Amino acid sequence: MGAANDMAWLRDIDIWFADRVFVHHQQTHRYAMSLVRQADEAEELVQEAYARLFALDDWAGIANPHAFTVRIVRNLAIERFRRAEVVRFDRGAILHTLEVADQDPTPDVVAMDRSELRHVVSVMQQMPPRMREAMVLRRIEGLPPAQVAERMNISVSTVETHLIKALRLLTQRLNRQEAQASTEQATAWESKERLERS
Amino acid sequence: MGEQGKAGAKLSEQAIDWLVALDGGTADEQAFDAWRAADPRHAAAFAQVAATWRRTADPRLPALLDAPADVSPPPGAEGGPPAPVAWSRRAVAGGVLAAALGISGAGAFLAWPRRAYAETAIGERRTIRLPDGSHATLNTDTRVGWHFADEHEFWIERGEAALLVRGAEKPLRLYSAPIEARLSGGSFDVRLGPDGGQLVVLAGRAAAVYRGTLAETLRAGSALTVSAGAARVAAWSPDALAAATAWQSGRILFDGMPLDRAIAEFNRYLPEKIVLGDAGLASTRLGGAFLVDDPDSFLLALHESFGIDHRREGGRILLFRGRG
Repeated sequence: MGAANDMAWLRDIDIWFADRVFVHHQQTHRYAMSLVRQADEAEELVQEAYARLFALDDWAGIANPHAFTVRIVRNLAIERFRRAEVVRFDRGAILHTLEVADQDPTPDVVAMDRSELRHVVSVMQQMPPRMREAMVLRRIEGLPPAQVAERMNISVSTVETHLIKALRLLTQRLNRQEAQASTEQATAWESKERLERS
Repeated sequence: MGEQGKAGAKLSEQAIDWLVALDGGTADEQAFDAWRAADPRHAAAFAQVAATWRRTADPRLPALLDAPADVSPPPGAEGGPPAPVAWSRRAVAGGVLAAALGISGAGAFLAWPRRAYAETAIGERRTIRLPDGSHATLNTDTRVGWHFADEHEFWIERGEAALLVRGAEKPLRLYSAPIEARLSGGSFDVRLGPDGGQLVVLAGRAAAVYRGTLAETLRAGSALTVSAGAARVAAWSPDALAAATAWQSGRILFDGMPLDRAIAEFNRYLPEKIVLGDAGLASTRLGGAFLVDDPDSFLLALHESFGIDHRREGGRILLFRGRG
């Protein structure tokens, strides 16, 4: 089983998305936060923007995918504003933050930055031992699932259960960290605004 | 709002189930394709999960996992502090890296995500700043990678790149399938083709290696060309150097080049390719400067100077000898 074959279900758009869009997830989420100021609403905007990317035929031709995504988030926020579903933001904030986002250069650096990496590490360190063992054998040692099962003396389907739970944990924790980070930022932003208005 | 958030979490869980089943080879791939194609939100959820999954194979992880946890588990976390694992994960990591190196001969690439990379689409041109302040300008349809640690390493996988190397601390190690080189501070152009490549030194010096043997030290104004398995070092004329670097200002220079080669040059920049409809036209020689993003003025010049007409057909531009 070759490494390339292992990941046949990963399409070019998935890799493009991971490397050019999802690496900037925190930034995008923060930007959405600055528009709607609520973590779950912000996440909805971001998720909706991601879905739009996957509905595109010509994604490969987008020069700056991150800036493109940010623009979709902005347009979605404006749509919401017009439909008056969301009342808690003002247009000034949108225009202002868009400028910042556009000026901010987005280096095409794929490598996970250290803080993200450390976060993955800490979630893995906190996993129950068997779950972690399954992850290390499969992901780091690169053993096929059948061999992981053999080493751990469990069935392949139990290995899958461990991996599913491990991936859920990673996904939840990484999202939670983002939500916390952006809530702090939004709170600071709001209080600053209040100071300026008073 | 909360409902939508819950739906999102559900999607993410579905995506995780699919991914692990696919990874284990137990998934019904047709059913998966149907699920993924049913809704772009499914595709987006899956891609996010896959990105997180890929992170767990980062080669830097094993060493960090060996270090003690630097945060205490948040309330509600499953399990206590990590139990020591029976085997050395460092040794495991070494094995993974060695395997990656083992499959990578000259010009192959270390697995993501050890290096950063950038690429351009057809017709796109972009400048990247490298960690040491050097710059790489990527020509059309180019993909490069770099990794700056003990060594400053730069890979070119396809296309063409102009390198402005600072080289203050250490040389830049250039890797590609046909050519490897150690570049001093200076200015270079490296270009890969279907059966070889070339390294042009505009300023500075390059110790170039071809097929594992030291070819030569290239000085400013000279180039190493590898074509169909043969390597050649030559001093280039100022005109040839200007033609090799014209793309950096969005131009393309033809100096008496046969039409078939000129078209091949132009096609690098065009999503819609120009094709010779009449083989007899191939040897027509032409000169002139054109803009890479303006094929129409090139087509117009062919018409006016050589009576060569074109028509667009099936996503291609077909050239043929005009009447009269």
